Amino acid sequence: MARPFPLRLFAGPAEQRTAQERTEEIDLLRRSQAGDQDAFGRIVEKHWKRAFWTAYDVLYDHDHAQDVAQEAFVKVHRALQSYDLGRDFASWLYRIVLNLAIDHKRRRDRDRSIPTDKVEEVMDARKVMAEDEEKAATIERVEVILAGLPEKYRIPLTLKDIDGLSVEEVAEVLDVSYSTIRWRLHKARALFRERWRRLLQREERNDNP
Amino acid sequence: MRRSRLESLLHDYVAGDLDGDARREIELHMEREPSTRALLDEVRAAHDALQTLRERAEPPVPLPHIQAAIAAHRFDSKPVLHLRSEGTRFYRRLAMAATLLFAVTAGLFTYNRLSRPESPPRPAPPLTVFDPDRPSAEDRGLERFVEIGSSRDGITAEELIRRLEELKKDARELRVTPGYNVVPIAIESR
Repeated sequence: MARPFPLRLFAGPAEQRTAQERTEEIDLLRRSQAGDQDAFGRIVEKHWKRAFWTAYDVLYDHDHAQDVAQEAFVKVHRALQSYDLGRDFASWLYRIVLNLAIDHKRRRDRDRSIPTDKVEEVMDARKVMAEDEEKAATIERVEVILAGLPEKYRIPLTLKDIDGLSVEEVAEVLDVSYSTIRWRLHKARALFRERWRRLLQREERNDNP
Repeated sequence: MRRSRLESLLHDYVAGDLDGDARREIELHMEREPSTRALLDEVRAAHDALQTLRERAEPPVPLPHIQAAIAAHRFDSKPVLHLRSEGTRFYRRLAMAATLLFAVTAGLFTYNRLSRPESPPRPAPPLTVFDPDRPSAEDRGLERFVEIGSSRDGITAEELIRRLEELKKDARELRVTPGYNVVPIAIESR
């Protein structure tokens, strides 16, 4: 079915990177496949931030996110020999990180009968990570709202609107259809927008009683 | 245009996911419907809030930990058997135990066969002619007595056994009564 408003097909990281960056990445991957540890170290440094925050957006726990991101890179290293250099590395990495994070979360939720208060975890993590107080406060509020969204809406939303993947890439990473992702994204954005609006209204009322 | 459809398109508009024609169409729609502008502001505020997460701090890269984990994995992963499940291990151990048991049994059997001494010729049992005139108390309950021969008459043990086997074919019950140098053979007729 033709879309009445054609979407720009590729707004994700693969398109945003220049051809030179892509060539450099392939070179690093090829060297890593040949056993060059320095080249692999550069790949880790380049993708660590996104891997970490992707895991964090599922787990809302700084230490667990670090464990998962670390495990993801070990897994990537193990699978490098069979990695097809024609594939987009970032999408592959996202898929590994997300699968590990979701598995980790399920195990953690099983082991923990009473879930830790996500809001407090978010705030603790922000205290550690924040560089700018005002920005950190906004990030805290956004994460509190995101943490309250169902996972099936939250993950597509963070991958698309924060990490900058295209809808096609999100569908590939999560292994669901394009139309399902479009629907979940629509639902997630609507939920987030509504909760964000209510939060701002509540804060305004508290500031001006 | 339905509101949910419009919201979805406004999100795409703000995110920069619409191409030129679609963007112009949305802008024309907003001109025709000024109330859409408020919705656009709300969508943009939510989008901008989400974008702040892109500015999250750079977490420290634990590269030495990752390299150590990779090295540890490389060391651990040499034997393929490490990757096998507990179930597979159990069956492998069971197969090894069965093989060991078979080898020990076969070895003992072969050893016994090879080390067994040559068996000497069996001497004829001390059989003699049964005296039907003086049957023992036990023998009297039987219907008849049969004399099968005596070693004193030069009959070999094999011959005595052959005769005994012949008697077994006809007898319903066959009883051998031991005695001093005398083994009377008693049978009960069918």
